This record gives sequence, C-alpha cells and structure tokens, in this order.
Amino acid sequence: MRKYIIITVCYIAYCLVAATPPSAAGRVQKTVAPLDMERLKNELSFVRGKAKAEGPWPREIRYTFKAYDYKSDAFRQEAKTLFIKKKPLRIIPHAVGVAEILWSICPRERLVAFNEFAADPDSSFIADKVRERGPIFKSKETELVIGYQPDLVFTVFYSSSDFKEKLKQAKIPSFDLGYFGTIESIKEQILLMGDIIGEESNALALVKLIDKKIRELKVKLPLRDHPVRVMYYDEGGYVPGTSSNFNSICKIIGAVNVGAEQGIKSWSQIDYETLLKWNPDVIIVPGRTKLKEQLMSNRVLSYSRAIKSGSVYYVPGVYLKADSQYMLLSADFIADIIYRQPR
Amino acid sequence: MSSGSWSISVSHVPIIILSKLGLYAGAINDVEATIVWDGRLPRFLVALLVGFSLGGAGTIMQGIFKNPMASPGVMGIDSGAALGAVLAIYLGLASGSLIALPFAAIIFSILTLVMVFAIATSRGRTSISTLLLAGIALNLVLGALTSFVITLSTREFDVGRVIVNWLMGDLNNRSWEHVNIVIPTTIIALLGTLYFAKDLNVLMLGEETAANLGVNIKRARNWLLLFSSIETGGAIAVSGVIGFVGLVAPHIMRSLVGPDNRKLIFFSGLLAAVFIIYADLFVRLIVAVDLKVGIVTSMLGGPFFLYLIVKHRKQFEYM
Repeated sequence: MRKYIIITVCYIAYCLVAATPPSAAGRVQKTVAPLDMERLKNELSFVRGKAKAEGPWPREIRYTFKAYDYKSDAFRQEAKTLFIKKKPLRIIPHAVGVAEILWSICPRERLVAFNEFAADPDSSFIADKVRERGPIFKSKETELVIGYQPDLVFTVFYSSSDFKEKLKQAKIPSFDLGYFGTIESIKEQILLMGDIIGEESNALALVKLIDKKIRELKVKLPLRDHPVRVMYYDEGGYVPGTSSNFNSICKIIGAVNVGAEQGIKSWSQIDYETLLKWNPDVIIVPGRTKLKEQLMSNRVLSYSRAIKSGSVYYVPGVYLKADSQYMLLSADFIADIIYRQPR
Repeated sequence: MSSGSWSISVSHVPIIILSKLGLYAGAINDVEATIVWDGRLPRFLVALLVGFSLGGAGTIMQGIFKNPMASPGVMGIDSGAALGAVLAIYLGLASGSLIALPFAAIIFSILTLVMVFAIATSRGRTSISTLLLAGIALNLVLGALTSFVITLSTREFDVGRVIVNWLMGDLNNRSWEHVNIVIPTTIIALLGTLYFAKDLNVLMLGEETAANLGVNIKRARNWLLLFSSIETGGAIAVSGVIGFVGLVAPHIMRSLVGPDNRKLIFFSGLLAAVFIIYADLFVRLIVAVDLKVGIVTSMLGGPFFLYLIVKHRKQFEYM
C-alpha cells in the first residue's frame, strides 16, 4: 500500500511540475486603428437623442422576432406583438450585448443588475464599468434576479428556457430578443429595445452614430484590387460562416470571410489540409492561446499564403464576441490588423 | 491516404512515401508531399496505433475479468485519461504545448491505475472482483469530476467546444508528435501482452487450474493489467475517447480466429485499427457535418454488437 502511495505522490509532483502554464501565450500586437478606438468606445458608450415628449403608455409594439436555429443552420422569424403597461424603470439585461446596448441608450439608474458575462473583460466592453456599478448575478441565479424585483428582464433567444419559465412563474415581465449576429440585426434590436424602454430617440441616435462611424471607417480603408480574404480559426479548428458576427465584421471592413465564402453557415471544424486549400490571406486566432505559434510551425501549413507572409494575428476574445454597437470597435481593430502592419 | 479535401492521385501517395523514405529519387509535388507526409500519414498512423491499442486492451480485459462486457475502460483508465485531458484543456496547458494534453492524459491514466490497485490490494493480495469494483467506482468519481470541469468550461465557449470534441474522439490535425507519443505505448504493451498471452489463455481456465499448471497468477495478471492500461492511456491521450472498438473487436475476432489470445490480441488490434481508419476516412470525407471518429465507431459498433448478442445469445450464456 505504501509503495502505491509513494508512486502516486511522485506522479502528482511530476504532473504539477510539468503543468506550467504557457508564458508567452497569445500576445496581441500593438496596432493603430483607422478610427481612434478610445474615442469611438466613449462615443458608443453614451448616446442621447433629442429630448422628445415621452410616448404614450401603455403601448403596443409590433415587431419581427428573428432567431437562429443551430440545429438546421437556418433562420426562423415570426411577427409578434408586445403590450407594455408602463415605462420599465428596473431593467435587467440577461446577455452581454443587451447590457452594452442598454448601457449606451438607457439612463443607468434604471439598470438594476448585470449578468456575470457583462462583467467579464474577455466578453464585455463595459466589464470595468459593470464591476464598479454592480450588482452582478450568474446566468442561472434566477432567484437573485427575481429578488431584484425588476419590471423588465431582457432575455435572448438562446437564454435557458428554465430561466425564462421561472421568470414567468414569478410574474416578472420579460422580453425575448432575437438574433444579434450582424450589424443590421443589432441596429434592429437597438431600435426595438428603445421602443420597449421608452428611449426611442436615444436608440435612433445610436443607430445613426453606428451608420456614421461605419462610413468614416470605410473612408479610411485602403483601396484594393481584390478584397482581403480573412479566416478566423479557433483552438478547436472551428471556422465561422455566414451567420457569425465575424462575417458581419468582415463585411463592414470590405474583407471576405473565408468560412462564409466556402459555404459554412454557422461554425464548422476544418483540418489543416482544408485550411491550406482555402488559403486565406490573413488568419485571425483568439488571444490567450499559442495557436499562432502552432500554425506557424506546422509543416502542412507552411505552403499557406498567410503563414508564408506571417499574417497570423492574435485578437482578444472580446473583439470576436461583440454583438452590440461595439462590433464597430471589432471592425476597427481587425481593419487595422489586416490592412496595416503591426507597429 | 489519397482521400481528403486536397485532391491527390492514388498513384502519387506511395511515390511520396518512398521518396520521403529515400527510396525514390524522382520529382514529386512539394505541396502534395507535405500534405501526405506531415498531414495524412501521421493521422493514419495514429488511427492504426490507437486501434491496435484499444483492440488489444479490450481482449486482455475480457480475458482477465472473464467478462464479455469488459472493455479497456473497465478499470477507469479512460475516465482518468479523460479527466487529465479535460483539465489540460481547461487550464490552458493544451494550447501552450502540443504534448501537454497527451501528457496529462497519460499521467492521469497511470494515476488511476495506481489508485485502483491501491484500493484493491490488501496484504499483498489483489482481488480481481475488488479491482473491477474499484474500477467502476473510480469511473464514476472521475466521470463526475470531468463533468464538473466541463461545467466550469461552459463560461468559455471555445474551451468548452474543444473539450467536448476531445471527449467524442477526434483525430483532426494529428501530427508526428502524436505518433511519437502513441508508438512506444502501443509497441511496449503489444509485445508485453503477447509475451503473457499464453498465461492469459491458462488464466481463463480459472485461477486454480492456472496455478496447478505452474502459472504465476499474480505476476501475469498484474503485468497484463499494466500493459492494457498503458496502451489504453496512450491511445486515449492522442485520440480522445473512442468507444466500442475495444469491446466489439475481440468478440468479432474470437469467432474468426478462435479464443487463443496469442492470435486474438493481435487480430483484435488489427480489426480495431481497420475500423478506426475507415471511421476516420468517413469523417474526413463528410466535411459538411461535424462528425467525430468516436461517434462513428459507437454508431456503427453499437448496432453491430447488438446483432452479435442476438446471434450468439447461447454462447454468451456460457462465457
């Protein structure tokens, strides 16, 4: 017995010594974006429209609910009507993108709690502000959400059905928002949220600001004979397609998302051989990994255009997950990577 | 090896391999050569070696435990390897180094083996039934810990996806580094088990008979368990959890080559290897759907195993 224990202890010690975390994992290159990122972020974080007389309450809102069905890789949409008795004053967003939009268009004293992901800097552009302000709840802490006594909870189409059901049982008003994957759908959701919370002019102002900033960004992009073909490749070998926010980012900056070009709809796993066949000009990999080094040292990929030119770049996760007005920041960041060399 | 997303002529494949081995001096296409030599050949070899390991380990486990339902995972080795691998992915070690994941899987599979033996051994004696029970109990504990890590990883969508893929058995992007990991475990274990195969034949007659025939039961059994654990750990370390082949292959080969373990270990390994190679080929060719090797082996192996059970019901009753 003692022999087995000694062997076990030795292996655990060996394992702990060997389990040193990667030191230089995923350093993100210092870049100069076409638009001033700090300024752009500030502008997108607080938007107020022209002061208008408050709309009538109760109100009826007709809208189209659009959701992505991951099983069939297709969109489904239906016309719906929402009836709201009074202006919501205690609002809780259940997703990061929703929190980011509300942070911009809704008076902040009306936001009574935030989802944990909104406080995670790897997922949220307002993480530091949310942490300062709080309170923060975990996605499954429905009781906590009910305890805050909100008069409106914004859920999204992929929020857990248990969570939605519990809110319903507790008679907490909730609203299920649809697809957020493209800048157009984000603008639709912003306008809808503005209507629901009674901040239509702020919502309209944010949409106008997005359009203005996209125009400014496009003007600053270099003219090219052929668009740059970009691929996002993650640790599991997955590549995003047409319905991804990465595709929308590529469209904003005039690049081609290779995954979508090759017929991928949501996400699909490809091997190195397929990557070589599709041969992108630029490969984007998530930060905090050593994927760039792995790709650069892979012999099969040594013939790939992106590898030969060293055009493999780390991008922090927050830029790749953006599904709010901050998608513009992602576009700005990635535009700089693919159109200019890092400094 | 001519099949894949990059079209390569069947006739080019042997020429490329001969050329890389220095046996052909003619001109070859560099891109095709790299794809075959550094992409498809390592993947093929990993599938082959994993198949040999799992088929061989399954044969040993069924022989030692005298149980047709025994498989390489019966002692919790695959659950241990899975926990090690999942931890390596979750802690970010796997993204730092290509060998971190297999290394963690092997360490945890060996740790599991040591724990199973420590639990089942009392005063220098290891009971076979206690080994089996300890294996089942550890399987549950390690499975629960793996589920816990998966739960934690759902915060990071990308990490969660890598973990789930690995647990489904995945041979995507396997390289020579993976071959180098699984070659020694497979060869050492195969040679070791073939050395003890005759003893395993006698052990299957019952411990008393084996002892009367001069077999050192404890030594033979412990070495066989060690070898099968090494090959299971090595295989899972490079391929993830591939189910059913270790269970089904020995059954099929037993009906074809007979119960002699000296032949059965090798041929079960060979059949499992062929099965995994074709399952992987299927996965590579069906690019439109994200299939995994482990899913294909279970989907094909499960119904086939049921067919065997129905066909040989009587035979199983006497096992």
